[in-house]
Amino acid sequence: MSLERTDEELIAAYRHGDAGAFELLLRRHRAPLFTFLVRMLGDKERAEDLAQETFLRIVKGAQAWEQRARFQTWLFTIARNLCVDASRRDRFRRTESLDAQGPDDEPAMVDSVPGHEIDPARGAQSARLRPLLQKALLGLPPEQREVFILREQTGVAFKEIAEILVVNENTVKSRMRYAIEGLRKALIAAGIDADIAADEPDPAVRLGRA
Amino acid sequence: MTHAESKELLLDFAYGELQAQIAAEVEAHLASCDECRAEKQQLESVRKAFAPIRESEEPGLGFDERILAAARAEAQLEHDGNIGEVVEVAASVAPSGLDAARVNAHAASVAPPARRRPKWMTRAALGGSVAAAAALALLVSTSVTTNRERQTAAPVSIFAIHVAPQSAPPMPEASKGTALAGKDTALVQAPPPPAAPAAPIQVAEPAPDVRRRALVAAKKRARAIDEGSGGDVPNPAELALRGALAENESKAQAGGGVRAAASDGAAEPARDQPVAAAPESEAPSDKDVAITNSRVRSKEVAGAAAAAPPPQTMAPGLAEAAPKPENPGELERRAEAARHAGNYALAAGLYREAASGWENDSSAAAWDLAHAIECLAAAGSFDEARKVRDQLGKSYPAESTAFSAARRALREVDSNSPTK
Repeated sequence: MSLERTDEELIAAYRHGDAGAFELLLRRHRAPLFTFLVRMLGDKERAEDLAQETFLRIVKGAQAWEQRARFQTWLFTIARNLCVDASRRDRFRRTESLDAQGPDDEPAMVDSVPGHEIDPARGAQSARLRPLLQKALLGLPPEQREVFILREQTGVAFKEIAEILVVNENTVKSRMRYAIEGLRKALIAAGIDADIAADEPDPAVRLGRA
Repeated sequence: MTHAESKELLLDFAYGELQAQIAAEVEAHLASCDECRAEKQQLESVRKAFAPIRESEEPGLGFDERILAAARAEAQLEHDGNIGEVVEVAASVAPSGLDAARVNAHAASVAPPARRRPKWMTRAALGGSVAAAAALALLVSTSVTTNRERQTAAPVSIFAIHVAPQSAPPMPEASKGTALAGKDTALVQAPPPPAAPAAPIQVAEPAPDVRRRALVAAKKRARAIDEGSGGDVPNPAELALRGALAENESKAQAGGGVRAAASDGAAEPARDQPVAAAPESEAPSDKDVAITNSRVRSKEVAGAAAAAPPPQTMAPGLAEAAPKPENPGELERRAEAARHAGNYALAAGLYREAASGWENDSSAAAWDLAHAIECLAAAGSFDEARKVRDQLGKSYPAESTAFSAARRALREVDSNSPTK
């Protein structure tokens, strides 16, 4: 039997004045939300701004919240909309920092500080790769990027992603296929994974439309 | 299961979203279908390659406290309409976790038992008075603003420095939050009489050295405030001060010399006249603004020329492009070309020139400055880069994304150098 309270129970408790319940919610969702925003934006400072704004909107909106959707859906809907607003504000050509296109491959878009590491050797490897992967993510159209990150990094199911984005599930999966295809090409272009490059499939086999 | 059905479900299959029975059907199909197997294989390769992005990132220190403070204040307001104790969220005051939860007779039934915090961390209960409501609104809405809002908010509160010039000196950390927040409430509710012991305010054209000193002092103070507050949670009075300083500086820089910070000890009154603090009367006329702009611009161009390397180092094709004033878009293109050619000093100069050409587009101007900073950093001109960065922060306080990019370009240098 689990003594863990669900998100929805916690937000309900918070609505009744239990600030400690909100603290548990924050602890639970802080890292996934922040990581989602870092991957979406490629910039930790902006990600922190938007993560803060997201939680503040939860604080402000808690009283009006009705338990129709999961708390997580609500949280990521807010965060995702803030991302959309933010990228609308910044014209695209200006959001990309110069050193990202520089001649050397220095990690510019995002810090290469590794997070939790289990195996040091693997940790070092992924710290080296992460900036390149981040760059590939930023190369995707935002509507594909968000689907890929939500599913692959945050672990949100397709059905829930559809709720967050207010599109149908098939659209989500179709974007996911395009995202995977785009990332596969980016990996090949960057020469990251020889394994994939070697497995270039028969031209008749195509990802994409079903 | 048909091929089309299976193909449709491959993603769900790969992410384990299918019921066991359907998953088994897909699996059976995969065993006999090369195309589906190949697609699944590709999907898995991409997922494997992108595994490092699954690693978790954590926001900076102080993140939780800012949000929890807002959460507690909001919960309290919703619950009984009163403020119990108000949690001040200055950077130096970091109530952590449940320790910071407030003791309140009403809330005790639902909230976990909370411990008392030291007195300096809290403010006494204010009851349900209007003042308390206003203070709470302020705390909730301003103590947890984002970086971006923080900067755009600044210029709005310029009046604060006029009415309270003595608020500038830094206060002891522990008392700062409370004192300033208290004062701010007063400011918002009722601006003090303008005839407050009016410190002399400089008007007309002060001697250049006075201006320069005032500028330096203002900068210093802005920096002190930035550092003093930990940069995380500025209180409204600080915001006001910052905005006012930025305003002062841009005027002083432009030679308009409207006024220097009145409380600035370094600025000796040259030909001062005591003037009652009346912000409206100090607003520069359109003409002043025009002069300001043109002077700033000519300075920029001069700076750009100085930053450009000698002609012989220019890439061919760039050298012949005459440096006559051009539209900023064109300058940006040339800057980009120079940057791609590795000619960072030239690129920096061009970006700065371009920045001064955007009349109505502060975002474009700010980004050009940010790019100039990146180029200067790439060229190793860190001192110059810092100068431009400061200029960027002061001239375009709302453009925090551009400023972040600039800060990033200098981050490594700054963290390695003891003299920031």
